[in-house]
Amino acid sequence: MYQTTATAAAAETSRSPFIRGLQQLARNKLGVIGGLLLLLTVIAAVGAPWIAPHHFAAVNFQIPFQTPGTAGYPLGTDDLGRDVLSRLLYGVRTSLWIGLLSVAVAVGVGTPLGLLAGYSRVADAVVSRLTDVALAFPFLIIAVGLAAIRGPSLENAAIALGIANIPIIVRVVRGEALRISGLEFVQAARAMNISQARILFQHLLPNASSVIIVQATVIIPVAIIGEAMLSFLGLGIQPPEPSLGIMLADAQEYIYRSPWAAVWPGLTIIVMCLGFNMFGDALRDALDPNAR
Amino acid sequence: MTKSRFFLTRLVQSLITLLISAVVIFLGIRALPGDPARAMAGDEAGPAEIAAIRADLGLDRPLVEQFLIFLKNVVTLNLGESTRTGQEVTSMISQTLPVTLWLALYAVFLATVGGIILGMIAERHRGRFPEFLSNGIALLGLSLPSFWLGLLGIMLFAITLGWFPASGYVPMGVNPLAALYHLTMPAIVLATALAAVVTRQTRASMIETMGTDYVRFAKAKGLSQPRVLFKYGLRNALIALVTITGLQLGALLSGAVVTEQIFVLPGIGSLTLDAILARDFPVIQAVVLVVTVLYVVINLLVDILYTVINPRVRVSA
Repeated sequence: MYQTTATAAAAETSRSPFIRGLQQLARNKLGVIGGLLLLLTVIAAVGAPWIAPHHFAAVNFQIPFQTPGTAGYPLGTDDLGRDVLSRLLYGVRTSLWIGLLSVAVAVGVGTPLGLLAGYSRVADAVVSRLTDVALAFPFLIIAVGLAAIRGPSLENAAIALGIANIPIIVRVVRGEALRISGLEFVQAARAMNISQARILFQHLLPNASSVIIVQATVIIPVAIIGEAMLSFLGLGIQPPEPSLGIMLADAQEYIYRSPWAAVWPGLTIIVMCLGFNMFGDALRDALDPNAR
Repeated sequence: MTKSRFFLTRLVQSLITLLISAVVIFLGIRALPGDPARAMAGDEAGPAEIAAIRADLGLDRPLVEQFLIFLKNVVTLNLGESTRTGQEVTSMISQTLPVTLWLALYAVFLATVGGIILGMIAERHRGRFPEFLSNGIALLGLSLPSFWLGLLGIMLFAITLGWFPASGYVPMGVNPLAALYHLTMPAIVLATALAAVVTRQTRASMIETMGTDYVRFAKAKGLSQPRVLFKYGLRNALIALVTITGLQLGALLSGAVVTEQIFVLPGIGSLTLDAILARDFPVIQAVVLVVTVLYVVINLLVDILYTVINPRVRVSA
């Protein structure tokens, strides 16, 4: 009896931290629910062209403002008789795409800067001032600027949201880089005269990757809500491209006639963002060494 | 490093941030499509007239010199006139800024009070239903678009129940009570995301502080529960909160734009949107400047406040 528990414990510790993290994740109920919501989101986004009963822009002036439950239109139709369910599915596709694009911008720019700042004091001073400047421009202002210069579009919305989140990535990566660069194996690497770039990307980066992944799950829902906000204001995605924010803007105009139109896009955004936030929380508990 | 030295360093850092921001805005304005001189001269103007306007605007001078003129105009609050209304930009800003500031202040107040209460409830009842509820509310607050809450609020509280007005604004100087009444629903909407962040932060730092040796000692010494909770727990939680609120200011201002749009409030946000639709560049430039300066100044104040409420702060650059 003693022996089996001892071997079980040994097996537990002998597994890689990654596997242990996954096991911990699977035990976290909220995390599992979040993961399922994410799966649902991805299925809706990737499968939209096949699942959606109608084209997102297919207009039918005969049947505007149908209530949910109408035959062929499970969630009803909007002011132009377009199928709400199909527009939601394509909206999820847009939201997820924007979320991923802006994380790519934030991580792509923020990671090298954060690594540098945590590794070299000179770089730290420069990077700190730059992130201060980036923070001084709220994302809406960056988006407004980009929309004024290049015209509103999906790409510009994603870039604006990405830039606004660079300081967050820089901060956490810098913290990790500071912590890791004090560890013995990095000092050993320095002593062995291994190049700076190699230390940064081969030694610091893999160790910082878990905090980057955790932050990414925080940034995506922020970006999804940000996109909805920009498109709602007319500064993001332009019709006829589908967006949950545009659906909400349309719904605001007809709020007296068709309150349902405002409910669905909002609920969809909540489901997506809850998925990311719940999964992200569980991931943080499982992966982030500082949160343990 | 002494405190005065720290304040000086922060001041210099803030000035550098402002200067770089000014460069970004200056270059951003020049990156805008179209020639302002040509636009001002109109379609029928000849090259000579356009050249005259260019000289008048200083557009024919070297870029560095243009930047210095730009800086001088900014510092002397000479921000030009709106191309849409012909009004002085400075007076447009001073009319709309108070609306946004009151809205933001009200929202910060609601978010801080609500978030601290929810966070403390979560800490007091760890592992039981109230913590679950508080965590759930915080999670929801982070996951919903606040302007959607505004739409629902208008449907429920303005249209159906008639408790709050769906739109309209009363200046604080005219009738403070009516002003607060009109701002309540917008402020709640704007406060949700921040309240969620505050709740989570309060819960985390309360849990951390209440587990420390000195709090356990204070309890063992027989200090009353509320005293331990507020004097030791909350005071430490506040320190982290001040920083978080400062950093959330950008998100708050972005949120204010969309909140003003939904509740038809005549604030900076509405001004910005109108300016963008009309491509009213002097106004856009002024708004961006004002927001940037606000952000930098408030965060400088936050840092100073931080060292005041936290006497053992590690003062470092």
